[in-house]
Amino acid sequence: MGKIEKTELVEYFLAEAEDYLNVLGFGIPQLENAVDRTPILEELFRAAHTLKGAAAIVKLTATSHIAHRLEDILEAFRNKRLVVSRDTIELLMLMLDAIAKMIGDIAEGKEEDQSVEEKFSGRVQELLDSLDEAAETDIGLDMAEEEVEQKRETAETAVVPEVVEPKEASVDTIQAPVMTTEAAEPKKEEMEYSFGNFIRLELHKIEDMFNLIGEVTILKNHMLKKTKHAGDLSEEVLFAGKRLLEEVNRFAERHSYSINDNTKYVDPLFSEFGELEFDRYDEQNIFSRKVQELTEDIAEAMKELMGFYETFQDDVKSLDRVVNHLRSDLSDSRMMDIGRLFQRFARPVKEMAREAGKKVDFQISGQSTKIDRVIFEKLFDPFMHMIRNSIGHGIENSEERVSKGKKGEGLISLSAKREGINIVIELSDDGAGINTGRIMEEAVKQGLVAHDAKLSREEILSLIFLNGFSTATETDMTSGRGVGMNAVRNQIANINGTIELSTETGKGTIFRIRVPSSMAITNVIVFTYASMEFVIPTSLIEEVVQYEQPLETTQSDGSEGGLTVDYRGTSIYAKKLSEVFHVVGNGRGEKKDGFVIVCSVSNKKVGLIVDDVFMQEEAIIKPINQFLSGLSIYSGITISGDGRVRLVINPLKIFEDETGAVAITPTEVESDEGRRVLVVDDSLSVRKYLSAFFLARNLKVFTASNGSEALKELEQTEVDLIVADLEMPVMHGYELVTRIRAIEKFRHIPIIVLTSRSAGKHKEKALELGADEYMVKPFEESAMEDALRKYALLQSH
Amino acid sequence: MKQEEIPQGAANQKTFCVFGVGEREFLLAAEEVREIVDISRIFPIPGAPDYIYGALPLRGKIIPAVDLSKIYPIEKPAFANPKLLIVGVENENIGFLSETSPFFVTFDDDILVDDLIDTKSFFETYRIKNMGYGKN
Repeated sequence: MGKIEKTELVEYFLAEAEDYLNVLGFGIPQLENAVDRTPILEELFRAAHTLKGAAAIVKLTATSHIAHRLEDILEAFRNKRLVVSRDTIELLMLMLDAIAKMIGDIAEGKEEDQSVEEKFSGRVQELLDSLDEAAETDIGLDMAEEEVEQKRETAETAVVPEVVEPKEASVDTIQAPVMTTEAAEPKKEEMEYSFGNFIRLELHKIEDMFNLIGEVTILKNHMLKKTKHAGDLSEEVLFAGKRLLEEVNRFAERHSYSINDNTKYVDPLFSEFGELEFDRYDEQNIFSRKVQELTEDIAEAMKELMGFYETFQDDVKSLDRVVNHLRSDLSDSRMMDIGRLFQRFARPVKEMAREAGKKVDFQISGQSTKIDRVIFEKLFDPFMHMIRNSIGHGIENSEERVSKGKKGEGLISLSAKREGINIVIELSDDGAGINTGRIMEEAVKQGLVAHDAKLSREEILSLIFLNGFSTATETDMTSGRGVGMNAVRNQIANINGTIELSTETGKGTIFRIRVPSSMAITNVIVFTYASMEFVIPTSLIEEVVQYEQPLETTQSDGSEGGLTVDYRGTSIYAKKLSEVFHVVGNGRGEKKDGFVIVCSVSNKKVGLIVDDVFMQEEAIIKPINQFLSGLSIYSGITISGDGRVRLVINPLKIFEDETGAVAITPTEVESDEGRRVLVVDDSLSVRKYLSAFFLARNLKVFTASNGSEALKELEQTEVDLIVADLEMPVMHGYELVTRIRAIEKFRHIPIIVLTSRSAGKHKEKALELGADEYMVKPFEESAMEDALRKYALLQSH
Repeated sequence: MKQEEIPQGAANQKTFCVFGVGEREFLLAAEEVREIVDISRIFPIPGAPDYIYGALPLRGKIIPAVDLSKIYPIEKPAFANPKLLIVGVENENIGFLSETSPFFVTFDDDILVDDLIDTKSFFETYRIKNMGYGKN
């Protein structure tokens, strides 16, 4: 291995330092109340010691120095030479903060801030001096240090390259093979990462291997499928072969020796023999014999082929097992205990609780549940947000709790467990619970639902996941920054996870997050719609149900969309893919049966109507090309074993507008103030989407599904802006524009053409006929806002 | 065609790749063209704007195929035996459909070339931006 650059070393250091800091940050506060401190101390001691050594290697002397002092104090605790007190724990935390700050600086590319140590160096020195005095009176300082150092080395279990500070090299005996004693400067080549049974390697190398093994798995699965197919075929051939053989044999029995009395032999030789004296063969006999021979040859070859096929099948099965093993081993290599994630919240919980003036106990369980590193990292932010909410809004302050008959100290707990291929993480608090009445109030105030909407409890709870929803009355430090649960839900959806919540007034709230345990290979369900293949990760699917009767339409106008499906006794909202993207066509269309994929989207069950659903498959989901990444209904792509592209559907994006639009009835929302917009589009979804967009900007919206309806609407209502599609039934957009411009009283109304046609000639034509703006779907919200400002429907910034 | 086969002009010259859609010809800077492939199978991307002709699977990834006739006023091209010019831009690959077999030309670098596609600004302009809906 080549020489390792210092910067590279620092990166290794930063990666591991975080873990040690977390161990220390989680463990030190526990010392105070722990009954048996020994196991905690052992763990803390190891962490401090390893941190010290690792910092020394990368020449972070100040960090190493503080870690060394930390280690000394912990050592003294362990030897019972020092009593654990609140004071000393505070001091330890101060030291830890200092280390964290310095490491933070290093990560940002800055130098160590040597001055941080000054804050507590006096107290540490004092403490240590008192120890040293005691030690000297005992066995003498030198001996003690050596012994201590040896003990430390035996305590060492971590995987870091181990080197002590140069000043201690002289007392070091154990590390001789690692470091040449005569060299003051450790040679980097010799500190390669081959200590003990561990090696460290960069994450991306594992990722690469993972991708490769993923490809192998998919090819293997494809091969298995094909092998099975080949097996079926050969069985069929064998069966047919047997029948052929039988037939031929029967035929041969009758014909191979039979002699036709009427046969006239041309060969004069035969006439010399009597009928029974010579076997005579006519063409039929000869043919029959040949066929018999051939069939037997074929049958023989078939038997051999079957034999070969059987061994081949065994080989493929062994390959399958080996690949699966390899994959699970490799997969384990990037699995982490979720407990390490949970630990990271211990300190923030304490700090946030202190800031909020509340008492909160933090409990964790299921720490050893394994989770993919990629998912692990993506969970920190959403959980931090939810915990912040729990402390900010959920947990009441002590007096309130006591008056309600609860313990004065609130409880926040995190637990994890495995459920099949998924990990279920629950975050629960025993706070006040979520007030559905208040959610409803806020949602009405923010225009997210109509004031007289009748929503079920579940539907009300799902409102908190809407974009822009917040119940925080004022923005405070802990929550209410407007990011909200919408961001949390999206972050979790990005890792193919789902979130649900249940809450009980006065008792508390539970958030249940379900994520796949591994990201590299995802279990998916393959389905078709309009002869195209798509996939949805199995982790997002509740159930797949088959329907045999036409689905009920909830829309009174008979337009597509708004279907309901019966699911376990309740009717749930369902959607066809054709509504999501018009261009797909109608799938099997009017066909009366099909499948509904039931998903859970923000606490609600929704259904996606598809043509056919195939078996589950394993797939590697890759991010979609950057050029297309704006298509958020797709969370990625997979390529099937035989090279077909399958888009990965993100149900959240398909249904999020529906869950938001539960009670919006765009044409009826009353708002006397505000300017008016007429939306003309034949697609219900576009009308809904645009209505929501304009309503959110305090505009009054009218809709029409074609040009002719639009003209009728214009006769009745005065509007300030028209947004029209080009392609529509009955009367298309060009004609609508032409007619509007021909009528004097409508001539002044600005028209925005919003179409999926991006070709220049459409634009030229539309503008020539009198349209004012030309926008291409999908449009950018900012561009639409600019246009609204231009026509004074929206105030400038 | 692999990258190493793409001709490089002299120091004061610049090489372009010329391809055709309908009656129009377009140019790309030769060094941006990574590969030219025959299109055997292309898969539609529902919800994408009409200038995205489809997606071509290539070595475990997909390349979006851009149909310039939907962006420039060009009579409907046949795309009977189309080629895809794969261009590297912004650490990503995108493809342009061509009805003709692309060829390379070299000019002195002080000549201003018409119909040159600035891939970077093309990418920025036509990249599908983040919006809730991919609907028509």
